Amino acid sequence: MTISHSKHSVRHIRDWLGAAPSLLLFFILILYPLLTLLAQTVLPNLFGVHMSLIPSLSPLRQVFANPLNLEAVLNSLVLGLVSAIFATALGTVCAFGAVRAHRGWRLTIDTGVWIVFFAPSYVIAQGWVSLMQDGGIAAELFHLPNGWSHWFFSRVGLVIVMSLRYIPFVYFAMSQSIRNIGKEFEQAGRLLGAKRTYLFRKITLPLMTPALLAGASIAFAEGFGDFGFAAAITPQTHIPLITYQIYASLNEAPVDYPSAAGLSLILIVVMAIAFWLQMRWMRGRSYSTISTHSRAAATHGSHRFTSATAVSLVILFFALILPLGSTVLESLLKDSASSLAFHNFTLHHYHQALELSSGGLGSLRRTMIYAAISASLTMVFGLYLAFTMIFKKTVATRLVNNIMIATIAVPGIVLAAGFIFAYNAVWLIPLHLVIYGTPICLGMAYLAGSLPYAIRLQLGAMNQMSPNLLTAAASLGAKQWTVLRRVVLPLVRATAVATFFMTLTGTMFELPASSLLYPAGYPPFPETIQKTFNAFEYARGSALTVIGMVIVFVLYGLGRLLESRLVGGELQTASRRRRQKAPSEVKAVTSPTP
Amino acid sequence: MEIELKDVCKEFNGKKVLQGIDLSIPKGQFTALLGPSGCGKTTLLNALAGFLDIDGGEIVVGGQTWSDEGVTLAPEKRNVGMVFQDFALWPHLTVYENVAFGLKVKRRRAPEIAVRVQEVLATVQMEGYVNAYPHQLSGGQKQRIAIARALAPNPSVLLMDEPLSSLDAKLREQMRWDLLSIIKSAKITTVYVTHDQMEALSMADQIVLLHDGIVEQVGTPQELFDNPQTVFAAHFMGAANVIEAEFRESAENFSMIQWSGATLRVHGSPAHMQQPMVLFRPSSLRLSYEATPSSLHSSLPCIIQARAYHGFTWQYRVQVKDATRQLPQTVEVWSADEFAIGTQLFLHVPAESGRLVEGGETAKLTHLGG
Amino acid sequence: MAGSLACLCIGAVAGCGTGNNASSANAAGTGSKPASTATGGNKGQLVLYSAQGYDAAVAKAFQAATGIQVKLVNNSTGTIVAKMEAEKSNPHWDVAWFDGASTMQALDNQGMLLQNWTPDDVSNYDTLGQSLIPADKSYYPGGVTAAAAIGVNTKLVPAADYPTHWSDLLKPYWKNAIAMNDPAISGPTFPFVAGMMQLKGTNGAEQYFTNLKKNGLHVFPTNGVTLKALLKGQVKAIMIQDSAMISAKAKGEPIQIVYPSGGVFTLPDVLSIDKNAPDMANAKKFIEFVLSPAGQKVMLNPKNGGGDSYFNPVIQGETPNPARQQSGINWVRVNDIKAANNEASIQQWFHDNITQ
Repeated sequence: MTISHSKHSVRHIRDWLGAAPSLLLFFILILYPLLTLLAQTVLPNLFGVHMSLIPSLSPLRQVFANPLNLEAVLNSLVLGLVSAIFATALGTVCAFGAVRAHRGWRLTIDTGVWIVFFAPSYVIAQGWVSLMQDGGIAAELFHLPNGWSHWFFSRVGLVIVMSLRYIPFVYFAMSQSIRNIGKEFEQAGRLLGAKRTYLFRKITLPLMTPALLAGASIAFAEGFGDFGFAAAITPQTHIPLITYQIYASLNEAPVDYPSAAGLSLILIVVMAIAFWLQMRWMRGRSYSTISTHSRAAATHGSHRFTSATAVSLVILFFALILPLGSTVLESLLKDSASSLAFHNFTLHHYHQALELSSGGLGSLRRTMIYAAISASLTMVFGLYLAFTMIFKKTVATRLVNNIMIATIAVPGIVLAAGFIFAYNAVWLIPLHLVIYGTPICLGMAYLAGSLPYAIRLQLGAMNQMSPNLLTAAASLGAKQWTVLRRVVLPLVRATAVATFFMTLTGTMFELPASSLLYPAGYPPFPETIQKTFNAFEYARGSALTVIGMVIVFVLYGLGRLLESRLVGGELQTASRRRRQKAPSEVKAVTSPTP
Repeated sequence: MEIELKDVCKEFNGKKVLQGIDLSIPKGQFTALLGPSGCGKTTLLNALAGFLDIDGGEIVVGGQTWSDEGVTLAPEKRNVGMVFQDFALWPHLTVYENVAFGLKVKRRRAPEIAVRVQEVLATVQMEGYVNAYPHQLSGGQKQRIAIARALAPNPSVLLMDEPLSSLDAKLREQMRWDLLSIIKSAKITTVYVTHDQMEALSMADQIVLLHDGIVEQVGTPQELFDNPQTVFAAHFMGAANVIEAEFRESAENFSMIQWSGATLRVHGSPAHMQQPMVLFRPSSLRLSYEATPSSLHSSLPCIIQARAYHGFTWQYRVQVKDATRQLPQTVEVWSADEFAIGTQLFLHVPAESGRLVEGGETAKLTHLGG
Repeated sequence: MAGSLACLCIGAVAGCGTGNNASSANAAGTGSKPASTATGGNKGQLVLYSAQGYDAAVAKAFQAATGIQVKLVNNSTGTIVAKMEAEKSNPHWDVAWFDGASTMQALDNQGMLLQNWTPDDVSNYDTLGQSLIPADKSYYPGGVTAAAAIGVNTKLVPAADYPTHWSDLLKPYWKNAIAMNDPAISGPTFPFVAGMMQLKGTNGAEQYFTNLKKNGLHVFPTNGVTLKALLKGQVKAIMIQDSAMISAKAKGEPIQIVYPSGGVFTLPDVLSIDKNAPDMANAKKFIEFVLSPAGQKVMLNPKNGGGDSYFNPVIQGETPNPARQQSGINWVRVNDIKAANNEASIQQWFHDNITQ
């Protein structure tokens, strides 16, 4: 009895020790910065000119006393929910349109969605404004009167644009799920006489609920935590949003961090509740839809151009071609008042953007390095953290998981500010650990911003893996690291590559952390773009953005090529193995018959 | 319903998976499609289910054309029941909902559905599990529900795709009995895909042996086991010694062969065979310390190379010294007597225990002991 | 593999930022305030937080003139202030420079700025410049712009119809055709709103903006968006910072700038020194350089500062860019202390009654 008891507690301790690296990582990157910020809701003078630990509830009282805040929370909730619902519908259509289409169409849709994902929010928002505003590109093209797009610059337009923007989150989760779902589940239904629509409603869709919810929850988090879009699309109708309230508290003198922290706390709590509800709902419904044996033949005959494919292409036209095309047109126009005549087009702004003294190029190079590092580290840490969360289920890792996901909703500027407080804190001075103002601090902030997404994506991929695959490797004496590298990584490689490029692009265009944390004198690329926009050089700013995006797309294309090479090689060896299997099976049946 | 397949062909990316299958599946009978991986049996089943279009030939069921070149009747219109390898029970539905699905699709009224579901669940002895979810069931229970689901709407044909392969060995044997009794009581035309010859032998009324997309041999289990036409069939249906031998003379049904210095009388004539070979069942050979050649059997000197104990019998690998051909041949023999490895013995080959089979070009691939 | 690659790259970034460590070391030592002579060998360094367009050029000129290495952080005013606020317990900056005296005043109110220091060349200021120096001498103007003037689209509005007073915009002629920025988002707009409150009294100003709204006022987030709305013909007149409009006009855009006779509100760009500046001596030198003809020359060149270079100099003997109206501007100095104190309530009022 005692022995088994002590063994139990030893294992308990070992569980926590095993989670220690991920806990430490989580603490350094997310929890500590966030806590230093949130602590100010009760210790408003923690980071004052003279530090004071006198607690006060006045910041929180202020936050809750302002009726505008409640209205803002409700607005954000509604907007987030509605756009998440639409994004889920659109993303699901795209996923079906892509997975069950011919290779060419599939690649087209897939790439399109990735570009939507990569494209920085402000580029998309700016593109929509250029397109839809009075005298904008659409008005020029179709000779529309002033005021034609009044409906667009309102909640309606906001929901449309946001839904289109969040398609990728749903698409990634769903396409993976559709690919992995055993074809037998549908076949069984068809043989029982069910028509396709009935089957879709009763079997396919319910089976995809986990993926659907995973995608929808990120879409909601994004919508709930979005400010940029609302600011760009509805400047006149001005809908009060929780993120706007935060932004206002940081941008009106005197800057009020305690109230920003209080509002962020609301944001985090709402997100946590949303995720908790989702998980509660999911409990008991988690089921692995991958059959233990892969069936290569099952995919035959399903590749056709369906109506879903056609609709996906239309959706992508709206989500991608329209806004991005407008941005590109804008970057080519001589000046903002010029009409869309051919003689008004010029490459002048690109020329200027590239010339932009050595500063522009220097910042681009600097950012490429930041991006490469943070993308590599995000990929590695994301893989490792998701791995420990899935296969070493302890209270600690589950806790980390939940908080991590809730931080997706924390606006970038809040987290970045948290980094200043955390890593410029007076208590770090004697330890010589004031890393604020160094490249390391900025790199850590990039990592903190991208890690929750990477983990979320990786969790989705790993959730569909049979634990036996790991047990098998572990039983052969493989260490955890070996299991991760030799078994898990090859299976979730596509997602790993995805997180790499997601972070690469994210870092290329990340603004809040870049501007708050960059080392004095060494601005990164997003800063340069922002500076150009701040100086009202829209065309030149667009040109810089387009240049950055082209770089990202080229890298992404190379990455995909590399990945498909790798996957191709993998499949070849797999089929060779299958072919070798046949004779051995024949041999097996020659054993004696009882 | 009776199923007729005429010259059914199917290609995947230029690889001919079905190369002209001609087959008749009798009504109300249990037909096993048997063969190794890649032989085309699953493709054939998918063509029967309507999941695959065929490139040539036709599938006619009960006088109705199901598949033809360019025409495929949709799966949902075929009234076919199917049991999948990993059951494919919908994880989000209860046992009741899984089984009732096909009836709901056919718009039966609720009371009628309830009665029918209880009925099929009784058939598979799972009455008590209506509210369970699939993940709460054991492998064998899932299997029963999968069968119940397939049977509920009274299909005209039941297709089963290696239904026992995801179960462990003990359970598999138990399920074999249960499956057989369920299917026999349902009196339904059943097509059963398997790579396990024991399943096919023990359950089927008719076995269709497939090999590389062609029908190798069709017959009752006894016919296939006792009278395999080819080396492939001989090996696949169970343990077999296939040897190359010299032909001395042959009559209509018998041949005289020379093997290891002895002349043996075997069944069959090499007349229409590409590459005749001789098959001996391991159970028909005997081992003895003494050479006692007679008209009833020949005795060949041999030595025990390896052995395995199977509880009721010993399985030996013995090397026969072939004086004429220099090369020793390894033969499998089953015997109740125990012999040590290395023992010098005599192999008694009873007269007429051998049978000529077609070696053809597949012989080398599957030759025992290479 | 990935790990070693990452290490390599971190080294590379750190390499790019040689000297940053020194900066943070200085910051870390703020408590004991050791004199900073760490990098740049001889003359030390200066950390400049700035939102001005010409800051990089001025920094370069200053570096060339003094040998002091300038580490620039360029951001929008909002970000600069947010950064300063966040690091106020352990500041890293020496000099801050942005538009908006009231914002700087708010920082001064918290005791973050060096007070009662006078630059050697303070006599360079003209009268307008002298009037913009606060009593506690916590910050100094580098130049001044109008927080708002009226810009009209010359393609849409004939010269005869140009407004001359702020109240002209209340006429039906401008129905649904006027726009301004949201003071909660656009830095220069708050001094405009606060200035109106000062000029017309709180009630009068609130009445004015309410009437503007009744006349179909559009509120856009920033100068850029509002300017674009004017040039695209969405509106016919706008009220934004004059330098942004002069810059557009200099590029050939169809825009005419009107300074209403009632007065326009001073929006100086202001410089201040961190009370605990790690590089105090260099910081003082920098402000003196900005007030010198050499510094002003760099600032006034649009090649260096873009729109920001079209400011009105407050240094004797300096002339503004020719695109700028030279005389006849009725400057109204905004009471920054009052504006800073009332900012929250003014913003709230504007947000609830005008923006929404």
